[in-house]
Amino acid sequence: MRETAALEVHDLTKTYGTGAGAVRALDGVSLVLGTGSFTAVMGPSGSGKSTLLNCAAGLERPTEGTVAVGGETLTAMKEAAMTRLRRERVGFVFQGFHLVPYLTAEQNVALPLRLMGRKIRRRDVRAALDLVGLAEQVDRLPSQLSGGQQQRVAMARAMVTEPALLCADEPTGQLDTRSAREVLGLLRGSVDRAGQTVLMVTHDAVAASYADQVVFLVDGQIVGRMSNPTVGAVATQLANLDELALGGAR
Amino acid sequence: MRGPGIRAATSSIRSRPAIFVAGFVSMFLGSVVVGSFASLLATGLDAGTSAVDQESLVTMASVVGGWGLVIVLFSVASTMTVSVHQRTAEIGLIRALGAVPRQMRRQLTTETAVLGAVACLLAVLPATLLGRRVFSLVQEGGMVTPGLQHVAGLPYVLTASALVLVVSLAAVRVAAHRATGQPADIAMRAGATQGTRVPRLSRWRVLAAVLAFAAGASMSALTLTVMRDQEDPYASMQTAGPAGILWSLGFVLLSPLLLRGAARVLGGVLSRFGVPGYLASYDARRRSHLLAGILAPVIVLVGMGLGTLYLMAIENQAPSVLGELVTEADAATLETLNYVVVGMISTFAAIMVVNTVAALVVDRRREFGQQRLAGATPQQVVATNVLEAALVAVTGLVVGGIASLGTIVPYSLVKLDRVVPDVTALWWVLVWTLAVAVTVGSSWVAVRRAMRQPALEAVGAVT
Repeated sequence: MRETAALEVHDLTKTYGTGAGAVRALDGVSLVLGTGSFTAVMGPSGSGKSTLLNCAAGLERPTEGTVAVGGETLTAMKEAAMTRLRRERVGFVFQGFHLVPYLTAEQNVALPLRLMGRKIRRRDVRAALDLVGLAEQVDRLPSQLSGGQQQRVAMARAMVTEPALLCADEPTGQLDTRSAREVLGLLRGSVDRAGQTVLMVTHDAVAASYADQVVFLVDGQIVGRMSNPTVGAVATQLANLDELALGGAR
Repeated sequence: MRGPGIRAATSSIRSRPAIFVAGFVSMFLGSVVVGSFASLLATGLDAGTSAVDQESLVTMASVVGGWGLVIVLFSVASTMTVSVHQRTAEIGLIRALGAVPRQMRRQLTTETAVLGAVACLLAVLPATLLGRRVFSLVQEGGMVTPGLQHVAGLPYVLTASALVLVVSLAAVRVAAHRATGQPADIAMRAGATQGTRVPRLSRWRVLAAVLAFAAGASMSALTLTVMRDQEDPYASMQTAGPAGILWSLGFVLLSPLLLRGAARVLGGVLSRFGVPGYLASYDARRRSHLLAGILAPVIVLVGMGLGTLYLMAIENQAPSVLGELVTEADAATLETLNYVVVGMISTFAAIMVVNTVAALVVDRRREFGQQRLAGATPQQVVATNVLEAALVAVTGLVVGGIASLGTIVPYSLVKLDRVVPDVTALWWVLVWTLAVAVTVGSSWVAVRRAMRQPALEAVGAVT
């Protein structure tokens, strides 16, 4: 195992807007993810889960605080430099898939490598697609794939660069139960087999139960953690969180 | 079943004017160009106009204006198609909420009608003023009696505007039919992945292209045969000019096909530009139907521009036609008029290029966001688009150039007895430079502006 943490987030604050209408989405969040860990972030809508994930992945800039992925500090980089670092170190799976519409499954998976100027080894790309069970669909365009298949292509794309951190924002949010289970199994598998570090935002207690630990977020602050989560324990904790959130508002 | 009424249409337009700009601009400018010739026609048909003046004006307005009309209507129709395509996802959403296809089509046509009515009415004054300017040029050239007054000809100008409006509505109906002819959820998903399905060229379109080529070929042939022996020295010009335009229209109809071919042929060159070249070549191949919206006006710009300019260059080098039938003033007027027409049509086509580029970039913001989320830097996205624009421009230069030969070669054979006229190459350089500058320049500016929006916002992940 590496010495450096896969993700180190320190005192992260993110404020949207200014003055009276300002919304504080993140309020001093600190988080360290060890290499090969699987963490789920949960919390009510508007608790700042997605903002945390986006800041960790370098898709959004925090107002204050620092983010380091694999020991390299993301914050205070220019857009192009941040993009370069992001595509080397962070893989991202979105709720809405976001495949490039005019590239085939195989071309989509190879795209990050191409953008990085790396040599494309067809074997590696095929292997990545094979791993997510899409060896037969390499030549299909995204519009010719089901939602679950598109998400699996997106996962192959996110993992083909062997990133230090794999971020997933509600990866099962648009999928049916069966496809969702497949995607979650693939995430879990990447952690167990390849020592991938995964940070996943989810609403779903079942999805969270695939993780090693769950971090609960309310109003931009971490209010609880749970190791070895089960569906029942997570669901109970979530119910309590709602009360906590209401209490905070009062 | 009734659809949403005028109020729904106006509030739809008011709430997000940006997506209606392209359609509005094309209908407005189209009406101005066509309307100006209509006012010339009105003056010709005015009761006070002498028979001689009447003939000159009516011929000029109907021949020149007629071809202008064809080009304008084509450009407007292609812009309206792009503007409906922009809204595939929205159409899917409203369908999913329970609108039957007919209601949806009705809303789209009502919106276009409201927008078009405003655009066409606003165009009346500029059209009349432009018509007066063309008229005074004609008069200065001595082609009509000095004392003759220009008539605004409101009914004619309005008729021209109405024609533009009707064609726009027809184009919207056809595009709306395509957009609503599938189950709502498919339409919505197509919007989400931005329609990767390459629609086949419809049989009608291929047929129309074949007809245009046939007509163009016969015009070229007539120039060489029947018209050559006419007493009127300008007779061959009357068929040589339209020949090039018809060839251009044929190519315009086949533009998605041409673009795919060009992407394949130039794939090797594009791949030298790294990832942007790679992305550009696949986009051009798999979504040629979208980029073809830009190619169409480029073909018109190049084909029509080169054809007419070289027509004049050849005419000026040919043995003098001055004599009983043609006075020096006639020759001068004809030349001026040709330059005016080239100026008007190419300005129009150039604006249409910019217009379509801007509409397409708005249409594709989400996709640019997706590229960036996959790890493309803003510079790589901009470079991809500049290369796509360059591919479109080069295709337009070649195809438009070929179309213009339909005018140039026969006319050169008739007047100079040689296949390739020995005239200045300056016009080629000028027209090509203009076409490349407009296409690539507008694309560069529009995409750079789109890059200001954060990638996450562009894909709609945050609002």
